[in-house]
Order: sequence, then structure tokens, then C-alpha cells
Amino acid sequence: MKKFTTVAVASLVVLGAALSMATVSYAANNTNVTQTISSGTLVTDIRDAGRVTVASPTFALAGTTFSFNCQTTTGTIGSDSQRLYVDNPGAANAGYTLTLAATAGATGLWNNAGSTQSFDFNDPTTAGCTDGADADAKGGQLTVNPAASTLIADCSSCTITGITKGASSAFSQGVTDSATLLTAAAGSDDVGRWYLTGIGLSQTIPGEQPNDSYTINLTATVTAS
Amino acid sequence: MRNVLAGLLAIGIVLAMPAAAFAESGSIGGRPAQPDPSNSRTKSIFVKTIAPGTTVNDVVEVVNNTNVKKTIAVYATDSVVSSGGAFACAQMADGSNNVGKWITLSQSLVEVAAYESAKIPFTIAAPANAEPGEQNGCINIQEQKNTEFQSGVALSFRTAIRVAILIPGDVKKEITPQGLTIVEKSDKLVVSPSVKNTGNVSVDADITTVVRSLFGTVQSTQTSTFPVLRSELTNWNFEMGKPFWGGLYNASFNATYDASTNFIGDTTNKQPKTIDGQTRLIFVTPSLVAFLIEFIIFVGIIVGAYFLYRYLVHKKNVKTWVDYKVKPNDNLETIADKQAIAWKLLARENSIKAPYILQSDQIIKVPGKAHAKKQPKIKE
Repeated sequence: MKKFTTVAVASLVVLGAALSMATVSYAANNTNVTQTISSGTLVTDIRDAGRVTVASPTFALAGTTFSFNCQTTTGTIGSDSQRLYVDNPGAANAGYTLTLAATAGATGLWNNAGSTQSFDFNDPTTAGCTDGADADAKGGQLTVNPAASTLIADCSSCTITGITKGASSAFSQGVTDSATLLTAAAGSDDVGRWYLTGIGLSQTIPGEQPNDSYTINLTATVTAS
Repeated sequence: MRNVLAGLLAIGIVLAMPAAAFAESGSIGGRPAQPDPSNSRTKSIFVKTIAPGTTVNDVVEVVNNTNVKKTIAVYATDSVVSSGGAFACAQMADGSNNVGKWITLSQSLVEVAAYESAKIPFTIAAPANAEPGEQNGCINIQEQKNTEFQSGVALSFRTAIRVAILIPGDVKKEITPQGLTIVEKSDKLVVSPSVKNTGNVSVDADITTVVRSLFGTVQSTQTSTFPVLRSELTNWNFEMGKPFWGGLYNASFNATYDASTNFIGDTTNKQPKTIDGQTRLIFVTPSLVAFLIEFIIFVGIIVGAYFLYRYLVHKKNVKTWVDYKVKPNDNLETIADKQAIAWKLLARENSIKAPYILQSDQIIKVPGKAHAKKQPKIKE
């Protein structure tokens, strides 16, 4: 009997030891690994079809030849290889706006390489054909038409619901210094990635504008509402 | 030989790696560094109540989401109204006269390593003569880089953080509907309501647009919440589904907003108020498929009506026409002339087929003498 008791106690001790070891083993498996993914920031830029940022995006308007008369040239911002992106990784929870304005402000101009020749982008006088009462002595007017563009939701869980494209608008100094491309409502997806292609551009060039290559810098701004 | 190929493959992989590794992705942005936990809007914009002549402090966090170090310009500007009444920020070149001038940043240029951020303190000093109501400005975050001349439109990018400041005093929160336009596109209706903020603070308005049939059935509806800035006329372009069948429809809109004196993001004791906007009657062209279906139905109705008419005439004739015994030398034309009806009608009512031969003593139905005297000749 004594022998049996000894064996039983020894068995219990071994079992207890085994169980306690197992407990230690489980405790090791319960180690918590935590990781915080914080929301990013609202951003806008131009990316190619592979979503790689285009460093210095430029959009050419159709070439024209010298004319004694006022003429209009057209082009687009955004193509399949240069997409105008907006990322909202949960950073703007009440919507946002995407706008476009001349980097040089309301007094900006189209300039040639040496800034020796220029014409205006925001003079509404005779639809941009002649110089008006604004500060400069140049004619010309740029119209931006986001209504003609295509808006694409570029993520698996986002849609374009609640995002409206701006109407066609012509820059006019002191009246329309900024063109609205997109307005996202508070109910639009808080987490999403979208891009625009085919934003229409139309520039009126005054008559007798010297033949040259011209450029204008525009800034796209995304702002949380 | 196998080793040589493996070596070339390894060199190829090593040469290919830098191109992929150096391809820049992401962009730069920013956010409020110290959001107010009781106001969720302060996660994305600065919302401040500042008494005239006083100063508040805050911090903006500038984030470099790219895989390369960036030099980032941080600067304050006034807000401007973009086309359609949307919020926008002035350009640095425009200078500042309002909130942009009230903000002083501790740094205007900061270098931020890849995937890192930097916190920049700033102060907002409201002048003693600041007008009561809402004033807006922006803190702009933009990569600083030199640009070379490139023909065409050269684009730059920036993220701006709205700075909304309430100067205490008489706060008036009110919007009024201004109009509704509808433009029909090939595959959609662009419904554009507009409202004007007639108060001195911005309003977050729930704008609901509805397209109904003349019977009141809702064809499509959309509701979205947009800010309507102080003193500004704002409009939006709702792209709505085009009614498949076309026809006459009513388009309308309303706006609901919190009429209490709460400022941005304060949701306590809300006082919802709804104002009805204009209603417009519009004609919508049907889709091509609907048009074809409608055309087929229309033609079917016309054809059906024709046959129904003929059936009713036949039914009437059966009741009123009398027997006539065909005489020698009679034919359909002579009998029809006497009866003042078309010979084809006579043939049809008597089921006489081509070559329209009559036999003597054959009994056919005719309108009768009374009809022949009184009625002008009945055409087919």
C-alpha cells in the first residue's frame, strides 16, 4: 500500500510538473504583439499607371501658328500615364476640395523661357482676346473644365459617391482666381484614393502673340473641409 | 556554362534593383499635431475660437510620405473662394491680408527624412479689430524644388490645412436657396443646386437632390454634406441617374443644417433646419433601348387602333346592311357606285377575294337605298 501511495504521489508530482511546464509554455504563446497604423495625410500629386509619382508633370496644349487674330488652343490635364491623384487615408473625415490656381497668383502670366514674351491667363475682356482693366497689359484667358474629366476610384473599398466634379470655369482676375476640380462631401469615403484624367483646358491667345514656347505654373491644392 | 548564366542573372537583378528602389512614391502632407479629442474635425483642420486682441498657440505636423528626404516649405495664406463657392487657399505670391497674416510659424522651411514627420509650432494672433464671425486661412505644405522651363502647363502640388477661426460676437447662421439648373447628358442628369450663405459663419449643409416622376415617384436621389462658406454663393454638380423611359420629371432640392450657434465640429444641442429649394420641370429624352421599345409600342397601338376601327365598322355593317341579289352584268364597281361606297369596302364586307367575280343571283350585303341617297361616297 505504501509502495502504491509512493507511486501515486510521484505520478501526481510528475503530472503537476508537466502541467506547470505546459502552463509556462502557453504563457509564452500569449505574448502580445501590437502595431499601430496611424492615418496618413491628405495628398495630391501626379502618378503614372503604376502609381509612381511623376516628378515634374507638364501638360502641353495643342500647338498653334502665329496669327493676327485671336485664337484658342486646347489640351487636357491628366492622362493614363499622368493621373491627377488624391489620397485620403482617413485624414479628412468631413470631405475635401481639390482646386487649381496659378502659382504666381492672380497676376501670373504665360511666359516664354526668358520671360520676355507673355500673355495672360485670367483676363475676361472679350473672352480673353484683348487686354482689359486688370493690373497687367496682356490679354488671354484660361478655362478649366473638370466636368469633362473622368473620375476613378482606385482602391478596393472606395467609391466616387459623394464626390462632385467642378463646373467649367474661366480664370478671371479677382473673380475666379481658383478653379474647383473636385469637392468631396462629408459622406464620401474617408479612406480612399481617386484620380482624374482628361480635365479640359482651353486658352485664348490674343492676336499677334509672338511665336515662342510658353509655360505657366499651376498649383493643385487639396484641402480638408 | 550554368555558373556563367547564374552570374549574369544575379548581375541583372542587382542592376534592376536601383531603378525600382529609387522610383519615388507617395507625397508630402500635413495635419494638426494636437487635435481636440472632443471635436473630430480638429483631426484634419484647425478650429479655433479667438477673442479679438488675443493669441493662441498650436502645432502643425508636416509629414514626408515619400521614400526620399524632402525640403518642405510651410507657409500661411488667406483663404479664397474657388469656383462654385468651394474652399481654397490663396497662393504665397498673393500675399496675406487676413488670417494668413495672423499666423506666425516658427519655421518656414523644414527638411524631413523619408517616412518621417516634423512638428512646427505656430501662433495665431487675432487683431483687436477682428470682425465677429468666422474667418478662414490656410497653412500650406509644399515641397520646395527648382523647376526648369517646360512648355505647357507645369503642375505643382501642395496640401493645405484649413484654419477656421471664430471671432466671438453676434453669430448669424443662415443659408438661402438660390437656384437649380439641370443639364441632360447622354447617360446622366447633372443637377446643380445653389445656396447662399447669408450669415457670418460657415454652415455644413446636407444637400438633397431628388428627381421625381409627375406622379411623385422618386426616380433618383442623392444627399451629401458640404460646407457653405460665409457670405458665399455655392453650387454643386450632382450627377444623377437618367430615367430610363424619359419623359417629364420634376427635379428639386432641399438643404438641412444646424441652425444653432455651434461652431465647426460641435455637435451638442443641434437645431436642424430644413429649407426647400426650387423645383424644375424637365423633359428627359429616353435611352435608345427605351426609345425603340416605346416606338414599337406606339406603332402597335396605331396598328391595333386601325384594326379595331375596321372591326367596329364591320360589326356595324353586319347589323345595318341589307341583302342584295346580284343581277346579270352587275359587278362590284357598279354596285358600289349605286350604293355610294368604295368597291373595296363592299368586297371586304362580303369576303369577296380577287379576282372579285360575282355570280348572278348571288346574295351580298349592301348599305341599302337610304344610305345610297343620303350619304356621300364612302371611301375604303
